[in-house]
Amino acid sequence: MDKKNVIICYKHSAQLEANFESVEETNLNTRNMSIANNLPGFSADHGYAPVAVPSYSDSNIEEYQEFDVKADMRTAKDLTSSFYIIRGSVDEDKLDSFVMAAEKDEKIVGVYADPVISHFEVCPGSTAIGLHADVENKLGVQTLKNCGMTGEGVTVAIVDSGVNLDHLRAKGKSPRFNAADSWMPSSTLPGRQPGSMPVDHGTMVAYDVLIAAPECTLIDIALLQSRQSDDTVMSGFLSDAIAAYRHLMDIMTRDADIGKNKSLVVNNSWGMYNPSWDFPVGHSGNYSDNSTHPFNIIVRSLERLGADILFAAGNCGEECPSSRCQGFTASSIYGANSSPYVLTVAGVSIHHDRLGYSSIGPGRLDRKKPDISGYTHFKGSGVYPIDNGTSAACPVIAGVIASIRNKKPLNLNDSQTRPAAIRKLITSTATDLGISGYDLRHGYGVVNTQKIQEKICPPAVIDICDRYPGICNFCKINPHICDMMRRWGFPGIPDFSGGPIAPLSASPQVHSGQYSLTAVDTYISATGNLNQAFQPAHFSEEFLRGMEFALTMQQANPSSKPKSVITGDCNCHDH
Amino acid sequence: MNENKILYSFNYEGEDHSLEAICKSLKIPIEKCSKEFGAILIDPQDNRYCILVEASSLELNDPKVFANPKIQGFGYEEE
Repeated sequence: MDKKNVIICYKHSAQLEANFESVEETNLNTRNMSIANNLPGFSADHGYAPVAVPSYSDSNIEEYQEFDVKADMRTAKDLTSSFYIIRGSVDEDKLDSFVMAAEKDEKIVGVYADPVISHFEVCPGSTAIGLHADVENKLGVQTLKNCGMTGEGVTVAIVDSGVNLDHLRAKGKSPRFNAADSWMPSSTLPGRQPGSMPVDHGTMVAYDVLIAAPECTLIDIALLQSRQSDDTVMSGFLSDAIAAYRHLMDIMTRDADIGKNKSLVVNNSWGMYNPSWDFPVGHSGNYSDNSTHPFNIIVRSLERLGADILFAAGNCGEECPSSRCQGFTASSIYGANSSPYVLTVAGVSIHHDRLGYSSIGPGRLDRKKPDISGYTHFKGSGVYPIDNGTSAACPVIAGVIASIRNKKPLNLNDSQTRPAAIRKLITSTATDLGISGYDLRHGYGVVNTQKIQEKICPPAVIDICDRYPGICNFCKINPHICDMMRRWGFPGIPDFSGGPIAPLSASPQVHSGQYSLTAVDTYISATGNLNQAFQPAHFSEEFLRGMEFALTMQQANPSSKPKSVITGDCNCHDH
Repeated sequence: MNENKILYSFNYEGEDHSLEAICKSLKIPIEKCSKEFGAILIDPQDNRYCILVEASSLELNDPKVFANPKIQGFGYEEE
């Protein structure tokens, strides 16, 4: 049964004053809300401390023109002149009888709606939310790097207005670039070269790819090369995109050098803003809703060759759409931006607030769009005051995919490395946003690189007998060591490597929750003699203390993730 | 500029994949076909091609005719 949230305003009475006097009361169940028991369908919110609201009269209306609902009832000079606000909910089917009963109740001044309030959507014109460094932190770029996920050897195509490498370098990036595989339409102005294009939208996109994939190789597909007199942005025609995609198909179909990563990530932070630019829906030549349109076909062809294709969802979200949408906000993810063969990216801030102008699904080709949300609206490239829109969110995800491709390079003979599997990896690990489960505003949620990394870089398995052969011998002498290992969930003993290396005799208070079995290595190397290290008289008690400490830390920090799992046969068979 | 040009897409099994041969087979004057765009194979599995043609030389209700809309980058969005 749906419920409506309501506020009830009561006149002062001695009972009310007595019941609601103590605002420090912690046992909410003892707060007497029986005053509202006569109201059908009403359930009082015992968790809401009733608020005394100063009354006002016509004679001093100016002084009390605004209710101060935070008025402290304990300091009200005249409680008998106060009103009391309680809140609760009413069954929707009893709303009418509730209101009638409230009107008849002389104790009640009025009944009011209690609407949900929330933050304002992030809109064009909102100030930047965070910096590119915050996006790096959110993406766990350092952790990705530790796992070897940097995008190295992976090609990322920036299908956009062109890239300016000098600007990227000036902003601290060290972009790798493949000029030979870059492309421009024949209509490009003379003198322009890939990688040296005017600093504009495409350079921002390239910068945002490099956040998660600093070592990827960019290719400049300078598609948007036209600027008509009435346009403030670079534009192009879909036919240019067809030609660009044919070029990308040629890259994918040529023979690759043996051992070279054949993966290609294709970022598209562009689209058709306005359906008036298209043939009408239902026309055989329509683009937005027609999977047989040549561009939608070539997108599928490129994906079939193994390219990871991403499209920005668009900036026609219903709350505060771009003016270029000209009011068209319903199902504004058009054509290839909604293709089932691409990853469609919506935009959220680093606080996981959705951009009010991020296009909302359903998509025109595949209804379940967008797929994923990426971070945007941050201060980053310096091309514009803010890297904003789904334009920035899309390359943030593209960079993540490039980093994934480090570990899962494309192999068309392995279905687990095909683009559909990568899309599944991205969506299945996402942090859910909005309503539970998939929704048409956030997709499956915001990208979660930690979960991705855990799948891509599982803990290394270390055979303890290989690593510490002396332990097996020692176990024969002191079985308590093996008991210790078994308590840790043997055959797995976590190695929390990466934290501060702790001397085995260190005080537990020193450390933050990570304990490294490399400390054992340290101790062993310090003693200089493996056999000596495992002599019961010199080592056993300290080793036991160290193991106990590590186990304590593991139990105290269940969220800490082992970097590796040590296994081995502690029955100490001969090696 | 491609503003007044639309896309024409079709299956083509001929051996000569040049723009001239294709336009001739489609009975479209070669001067109406964009040489810069050429004849692009968009689906190798289906031998499906695409050319770019001046809109005035085609019937819009031809099922092989497709829109060539303008596209733009999604951002930078100002207030």
